[in-house]
Amino acid sequence: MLTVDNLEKTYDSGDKALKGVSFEVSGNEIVAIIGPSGAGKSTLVRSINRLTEPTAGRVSLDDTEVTGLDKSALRDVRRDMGMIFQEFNLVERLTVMENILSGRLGYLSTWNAFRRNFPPEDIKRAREILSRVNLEGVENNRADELSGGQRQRVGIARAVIQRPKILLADEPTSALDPDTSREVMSLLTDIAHEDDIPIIINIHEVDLAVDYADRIIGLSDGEIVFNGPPDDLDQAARDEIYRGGESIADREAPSAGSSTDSDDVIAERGD
Amino acid sequence: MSEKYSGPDAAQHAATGLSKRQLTTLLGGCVILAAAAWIAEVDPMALLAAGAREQMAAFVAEGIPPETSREYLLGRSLRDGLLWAVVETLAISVVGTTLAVALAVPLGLTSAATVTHRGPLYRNASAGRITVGRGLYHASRTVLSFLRSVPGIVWGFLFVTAIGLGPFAGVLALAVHNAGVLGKLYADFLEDTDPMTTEAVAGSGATRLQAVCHGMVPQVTPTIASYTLYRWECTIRSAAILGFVGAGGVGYYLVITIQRLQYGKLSTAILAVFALVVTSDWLGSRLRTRLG
Ligand SMILES: Nc1ncnc2c1ncn2[C@@H]1O[C@H](COP(=O)(O)OP(=O)(O)OP(=O)(O)O)[C@@H](O)[C@H]1O
Ligand SMILES: [Mg+2]
Repeated sequence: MLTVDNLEKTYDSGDKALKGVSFEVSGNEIVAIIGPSGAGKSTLVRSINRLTEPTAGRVSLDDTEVTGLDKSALRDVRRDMGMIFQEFNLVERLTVMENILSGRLGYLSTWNAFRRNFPPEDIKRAREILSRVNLEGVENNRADELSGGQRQRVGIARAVIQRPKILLADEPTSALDPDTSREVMSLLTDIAHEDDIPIIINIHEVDLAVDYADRIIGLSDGEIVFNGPPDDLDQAARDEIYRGGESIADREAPSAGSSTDSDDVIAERGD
Repeated sequence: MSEKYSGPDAAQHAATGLSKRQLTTLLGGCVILAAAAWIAEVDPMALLAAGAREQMAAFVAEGIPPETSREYLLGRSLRDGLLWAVVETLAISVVGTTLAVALAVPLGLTSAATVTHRGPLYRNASAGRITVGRGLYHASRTVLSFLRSVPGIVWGFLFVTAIGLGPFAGVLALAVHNAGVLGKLYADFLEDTDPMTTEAVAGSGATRLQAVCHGMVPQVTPTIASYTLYRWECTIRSAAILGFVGAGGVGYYLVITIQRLQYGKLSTAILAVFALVVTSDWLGSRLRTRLG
């Protein structure tokens, strides 16, 4: 179970990105975090594994308090958290297989890691995952030869091979077209159910969140303004979430695809 | 002519071809060039002077045909003769470049801010660790600047003085100078890598060293390999003149035949260097396209 308790982040620039955020995630829940640009979605998920260092509050995974761990203990807990990125963040010049296996580096001794000498069970597991994410046949291709959807599936496989207790995804579909976005979302939900782990997904498109998430957290200006099942996300709740956002044109520009739900929000806001 | 619009001025001068700014730049360039030519004592008449013409005629007359006697080419023993000197030049460049890489890799790593103290790998680092990293970075950048600011031939002279005449002094000279050149190149490439990729590796629980080795370095290995090969082509040319200071190779034949006015032998030596350079460039570029 992941517990986030009163988490705050103030950047060096003075930006208060998170102003006391608390929630819990457990089981194999899919939790979508939605909110306008600049609401603090990325800051929130990145604070959970401390890719961004929160300034106050607590994050705990099961019985481990992540905030306050020293360097080597933080590495250990990071192995339990898989992360998936908007821009995939693969090593473009390495093969699919090499990229996937790099999710296991944290488990190797320095010398074995240096030689990329992975134990046979890691390689076996990598092959299994390869078929789960439907990438059989391209395992020896370089990552830069793949399509966006394929790359994101490599990114997912790299996170899954860690055997994480939770997956964190920062806008995993924003660089993909609408159809591919849906494929990736259903792959993520399958993984949550098969591996019985929760997933926290930052997401721009409200309709994707509604279709795939078990719970939606609405973030606005660094604060949680909605936390409940998709069915409860009525117009009032949407207005509340997007009330304090940036200009609508800015927010909608990147996701001109199929975001009918958020288009409605715009219409009603009448800007 | 003026393609970029830079105010009404540009539009007005578009017809005449040059904007005010372009004219100023051009004029400034001419002034600098004239000053530089004066400092460099440029004197076209020197080329046409009677003495110069005589000398050049003498070189052509005596330099053709190039000397091809067996004794000159092969010498009296194994380590003798022009051909051996060519082989020696090649060997100096190969060993020198290899040693340079061996020095440049650690120095390049400690000269890359993204490895020592900046960026995603240091987001959870203590202030003390960052200070230490910054110190290491500045120290090794300074070492690299020093190594490459002393020309290879000067290093050759110093090593000849230290360890005596011979090709090993040349090897060390090339290694040290090129460690400076390659180390800086490696460090700059490492600083240019995508931080998000490195972050992704570190985010899965890898150590800093692992994130460097498997997140940062693989982003640049093909580029680095290709530049290193290019640098090797350059060291062939440097190795060819190391003989001037007695640090081995074909340069010895160049300098000795010039001093003794043996133009036939000199043109053979020049042709040998030419062949060596052409061959290594060809080989280098072939290898580089294969790295692609
Ligand atoms: N590295 C940083 N330094 C300073 N301020 C930052 C930094 N990263 C984010 N911020 C600020 O923190 C706030 C929250 O940013 P964050 O990236 O978390 O928002 P987001 O909800 O992910 O937005 P988006 O939908 O555009 O990705 C913004 O005001 C942003 O300007
Ligand atoms: Mg974001």
